[in-house]
Order: sequence, then structure tokens, then C-alpha cells
Amino acid sequence: MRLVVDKVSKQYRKDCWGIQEVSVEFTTGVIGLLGPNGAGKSTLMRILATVTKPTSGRVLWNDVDIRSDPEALRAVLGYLPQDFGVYPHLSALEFLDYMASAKGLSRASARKRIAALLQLLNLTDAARRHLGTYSGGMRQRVGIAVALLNDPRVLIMDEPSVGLDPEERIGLRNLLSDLAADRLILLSTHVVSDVEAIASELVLVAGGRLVLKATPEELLGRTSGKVWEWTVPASELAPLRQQHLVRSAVRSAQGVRVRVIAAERPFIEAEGVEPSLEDAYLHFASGKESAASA
Amino acid sequence: MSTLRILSGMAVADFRERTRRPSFIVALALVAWLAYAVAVGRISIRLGHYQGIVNSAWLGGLIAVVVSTVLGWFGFFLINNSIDLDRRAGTGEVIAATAISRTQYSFAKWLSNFAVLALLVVLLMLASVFLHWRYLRHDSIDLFALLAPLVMIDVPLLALVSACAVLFEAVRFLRGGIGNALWLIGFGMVMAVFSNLATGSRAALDPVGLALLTSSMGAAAKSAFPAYHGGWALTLEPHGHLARFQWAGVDWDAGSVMARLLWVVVALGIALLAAGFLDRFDPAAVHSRRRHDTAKRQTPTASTYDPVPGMGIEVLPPAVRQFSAGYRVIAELRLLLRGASPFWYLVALGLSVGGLFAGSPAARGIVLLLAWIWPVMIWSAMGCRETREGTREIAFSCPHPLRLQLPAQLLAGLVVAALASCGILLRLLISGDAAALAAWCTAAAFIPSLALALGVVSGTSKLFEVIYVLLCYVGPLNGVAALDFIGMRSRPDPLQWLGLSLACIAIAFFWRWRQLNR
Repeated sequence: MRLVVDKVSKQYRKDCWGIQEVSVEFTTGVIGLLGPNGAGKSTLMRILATVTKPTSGRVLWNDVDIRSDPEALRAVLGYLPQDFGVYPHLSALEFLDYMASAKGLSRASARKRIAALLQLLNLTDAARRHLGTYSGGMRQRVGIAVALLNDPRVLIMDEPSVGLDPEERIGLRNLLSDLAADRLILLSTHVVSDVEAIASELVLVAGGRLVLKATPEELLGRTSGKVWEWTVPASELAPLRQQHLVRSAVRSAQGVRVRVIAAERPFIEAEGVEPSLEDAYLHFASGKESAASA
Repeated sequence: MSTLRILSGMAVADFRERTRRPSFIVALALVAWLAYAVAVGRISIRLGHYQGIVNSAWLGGLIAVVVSTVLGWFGFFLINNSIDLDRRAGTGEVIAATAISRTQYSFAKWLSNFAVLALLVVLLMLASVFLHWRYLRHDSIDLFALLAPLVMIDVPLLALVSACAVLFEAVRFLRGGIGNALWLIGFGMVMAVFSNLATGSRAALDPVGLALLTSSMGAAAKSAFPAYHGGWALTLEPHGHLARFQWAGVDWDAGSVMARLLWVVVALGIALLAAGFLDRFDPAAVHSRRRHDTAKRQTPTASTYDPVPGMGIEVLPPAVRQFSAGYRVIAELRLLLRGASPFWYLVALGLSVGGLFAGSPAARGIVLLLAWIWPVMIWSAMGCRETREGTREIAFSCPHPLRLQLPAQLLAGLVVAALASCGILLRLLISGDAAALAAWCTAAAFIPSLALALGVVSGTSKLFEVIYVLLCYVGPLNGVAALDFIGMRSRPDPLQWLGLSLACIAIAFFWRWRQLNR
């Protein structure tokens, strides 16, 4: 199972690129695609989901170019777009049945799988209600069910946790973790905590370009010794923000406890602390360290 | 914030949004073509065997008639999505949470509708001056005679159309296909009734304004040629030599100017009336069943994700792939028919069964026409539902979106055509009328093919609704033989309609292929 992105670019208009010269390779496991809003994550997701064609470059699924033969990937693909709609007059049961027929499942198999997915995602009680009456979180769960309908080998989910409450996010994380054993799961998000616990690899995209690809451990290792905390008077916070990458600032009676990412100790009183994945993400996404140096 | 600031702010933003849409570019292209067609004489007015000498007044009158007919009738469809845009984009709820009143909102929408149409008229005014300079060099330009018909006839009409568009969007029942069909038929009837019956002082009562022009033109024709017995036609076809008469334009006295201004007041009244129907984008302000469902949505057990203890992916049975055309078509058919009310089904059933008892060909034609107009909104969702409901990305990432999904949609549409008229089909089979049966088959294939093509190309239901209802109105209902696809008054050529169906299918496939390869 191998998905290769080879120098892929997508140009929307003159001087407007979604992504540029992105090359990366994926195998099984959960891969977290991280990047700020507008970084090009969704463009890359759409290209991998065969919805958009790249302007240049190749995407190879098990050595088959999906630009010329998208069906090779579509047969094993489950896709959850960032913004998707549903047919409001259909119930969840009917919508999933419709999508099962579109994905080429047998009727008998579709029925069993739909029932199980509805149960797994706790939608059984609402299964016969019109989708137009669903809340955002419920609709998102229906989208997840659609993506899982055909038991996909490749699961592409663009911001799947949007609209989900904390409890639902944990449920989704556990589900994806269970699915990851023999599948390739590509998960795009700008919320680091969504992938922190389950991703085997992280891919960072910024400004339409690939910044780096690393395991969470590697990422943490490269940020080690670059995260500092100390307390400053509230009046010094603004100038500090102009000089350094301030990750957080918590107010207390003594002043403001700041967490700063910097290559060297920024202040005499600053104490070095263990980096979190979010520190690492901010460090690399800020562009203060290049992929090459990482 | 002053009312004026609110109105102008909303109207300008709305105007900008809509004039940057592809549909406006299409309208601009249509206006350019109309100007050209008028200039080269492809569109002309004929009063029996007579025609006016082309001068500033005649050119202005001709352009005004074209604008009234085309922009009045079809411009409605360009602008009747203003409130829907707010609803779909989600800005409606944001606006509803501000201090803007329903009246202010309605007036702002009326203003922006009017601005969109007025821009097209202004462009036509400029074009008419250019056309005069280009084609009537021998004649000195009389700006008042040239532009007065556009200002006096079309500006009040477009104000009226703009207000009606707001009303049709505000009243739930008139949104979508039913409203579109009513407008098409209603405007056509108003034009026909007033332009032929309203003469003399009654001409001012014509909301479209054509009666003012045609009665003045008719008086000039009568004075020059006493043999002229009334009637006029806007023609697209070249005609032989016609005797010419001099027409100096409408005598714009205070009475006729006031009569036209009165329609602007009526337009304001309609916009005010529309405000009363606006629901401030309240999702709960829908019909009773929806309200009931919304209430159920609040049930905690249904809206929270509470994973079943110990339950994981091991409960998921394997997915067996085995494509079945029948399963696919049934799924598409269910999607097409979902959402229709029990009343819709009852009428459809009545028309379908009624066909069985329609003995004479004339009765059969009427029942068939009604049976095939009734599902217009079912067919109009074909090919555009993915765009309209935002399921495109999911649908396009499924296997064979072109080879399997599109044919399934087409077949489902065909099944709807057959079900809607199965009584007549049965009767034709029993009678063994092969020619009528062939006409039925080609018409049944043509309707979903047209719907699919227009849906895929435009991404909206509206284009099919407008074109199809117009086709039914002009062809079968008004007896234009070339467009009578169901054979209501004449025998259609099955090969012609089969060819058109195949062309529509080819367009649908090509366009979808383009969408998939972007």
C-alpha cells in the first residue's frame, strides 16, 4: 500500500497556487496533515481524493497514476471533505443506502454495513429522521459513516473534527486509531491535539509547500531545548510578542507566565521546558526553521 | 445607522455579488446579442403588413419592446435568487441578528434587483445610441425619442419585476419551481391580454407598458394605411417587403407619464407586501413537519456521541462490492422522489390514472401535458443536485462517476416520465397507435435528457424549469408544431426529438467529464 505524491502542483489562476511542487510518500498508519488555514491542505486532499486534477506532477497509488486511472484509487477510497452537504429530505439510512449504491456495494452488504456503522457512530435512534433536522455534529458523523461505507483501504478526512464536541472528537480519534492497523488514513487538521495521540507521521504544509514530514517523536526531538517559560510583568508582553514567538500567555497575580519558542534562551530568567507537539508545530509553521535544517 | 445607509449598504453589496456571477455575464452577452439583432434587422416589429420607418423613435420603441419581453419575462430568473443567496451563504442569519427590519431588508433586495436589471437597460441605452450612429447616419439623432421608451416603459416595468422577484422569494409557496412556472405563464398571459385588449386610454393600465407603444404605433399605421386592422408581432424571422409609415413616438403627456410612475408605486407596494412574508431566516419557521423534527433534534440521546461501551470496528461486517444497475437506479429514483408532498403524489397518481380514461387524442394530449408538467421540479434536480446540496466532492470520489452515476440518474428520470404517464402509455399500447407510441417514447426520453443536460451545465434547477415550462407553453399549449414534443396538436418527428435527446445526453456527459477533469 503506497501513495506517492510526486512534484504535484495545483494552479487555480495566474499567480494563485493551491500547492506547489509537493512531493511526499505515504504508507499505512495515520498521517496527520498539519498547516495553518490556507496552507493548501484541502487542495492536496482533493487531489488525493481524485476530485481535483493536479496542474502538474503525478500521484501514484500502488504505482498507478491516478490522474490517468482514478478508478484504481476510487475503488478503495473513503473521503470526507471539509465542507460537504447532505440531501436534507433523506434520512441517514436512505442517504447511506444511496451512497452505498454509488460506491458499488451489494445491497445485502450495504444493509448490514449501514446498520453497523449507524450503531458504531451512535446514530441508530436518529437513523430514520430527515438529515435536514440533524445538528452539525450528527451530520459530521453521517459524513464519517459515508467515508467508511466501503471499508476503504485509503481514508482521506479533511478537518473531520470540525463541528464535533470534545466527546465526539475523542470517539473519532479512537475509531481512527482502531482503523489504522492496515489502512492509510490521511487526516488534515489545524488542531494539533486531533492528531497528537494517533498519528504515526506528521506532514506540515505552509504557503502551498511541504515544510516537513516527520514522526511526532522526531518533531519533538527537533524542538527540544527551544521552549522556554518565565513570568514577565504584563506591560512587557507586547514588546516580547514582537521579538519572539509567544506560544501562550497565562495571567496570574505575579504577572504573565509566558511560553516562548526560541532557538536560544531569550531571557535570563527563562527556564527550558519539555516541548509539546503544538510547540513543535508552531515552531516549524512559523517558518523560523526550514525543513532542511529540521 | 440611518435607514438610507442600511439600504444602500445592503443593496450595493448584493448588487456587487450578483454582477460578478457567471449568470450576469450570460445576461450581458444576451443583451449584446439583442442589440446586434435589432441593429441588423433580425428582430423587428410588424403591424400586419406594415412597419415603421426606422428613425430614432422606431429604434427606441423596438428596443423597449425587446427589453420588456426579454428582460421583463426572463430577467426575473436572473434576479430571483437574492434572498436565497443569503440563505445558502448563511449571511441571512447574521443579517437577521442585526437591527435591520424586514421592511428595510425587503426594500434593499428590491433596490439591488432593480439595479441589476437597470444596469442592463443602461447598457442597452448606450448601445441604442451607438446603433443609431452606426446604422442611421442619414438621420439626425433625437435622443428623447430614442431613449424615452426605455425610460418610460422599461424602468417602471423592471421596478415591478424586481419587486415581484422579492415577493416570490419571500412567499414560501412561490419559491422554486412553482413560482418559476407561475411567473412564466402569468407574465405571458399579462402581455398577451394587455397588448391586444388595451388601447387608447386603457393602454396606460398595461403593467408591461407594451400597449402604450403598440397603440401609438397602431394609430400611426392606421392613419397612413386605413386598411390596417390592428395587431402587432415581434418577429425573429425576416419578412418580405412591408409598406412603411412614419411614427414619431409616443406622445408622452402627463397622463401617460403618471400612469407609468404609478407602476413604480405599485412595485414599492409589492416590496412592502413581501416584507410581511419574510421569516428572518428562522430555521424553525418552516412547515409543521419540519418544526416537529426540529423539536426532536433537541433530544439529548440523539445529538450527543456516546460511544457504545466495548464497541469497536470489529462489529463492522465486510463490504462486498457487486455493482447492481437496478440498485443504483432505485437509489436515484428514491432520491428524485423524496421530498415531494403527499398532495404531489395524489395529483401525480390522478393524472397518471386519468390518462387511461382519456379517450380522444385531444383529451389525451391535455392529460399528458399536465402529467409531464407536474414533475417539473422532480426532473429539475437532475444533474445539479450534487452542486446544489454540496455533495459533489463525495459523489465525484465514488467509483465511475461518469460511466455509472450519470446513466443511473438518466434512467431514474425516464422512470419518472413513464410512471407519471403510465395510464396513457397503457392506452397507447392497447390501441396499437404506433405513431403516438413513438412520440410518447421520444418525449419520455427527451424530458430527462434535457433536465440532465441543463442541470449538469448550469448547476441549478432554474434553467430547466424555465426552458421546459416555456417549451410546454409555446409548443404543445400554443400549438407551435416545431416545439410540440408530446404531439398534442401535431405529429412530432420522433427522429428529431430522439436526436435532440441524444445531443442533450452527449452535452451532459461532456460537461460532467469536464467537471471531473478540472
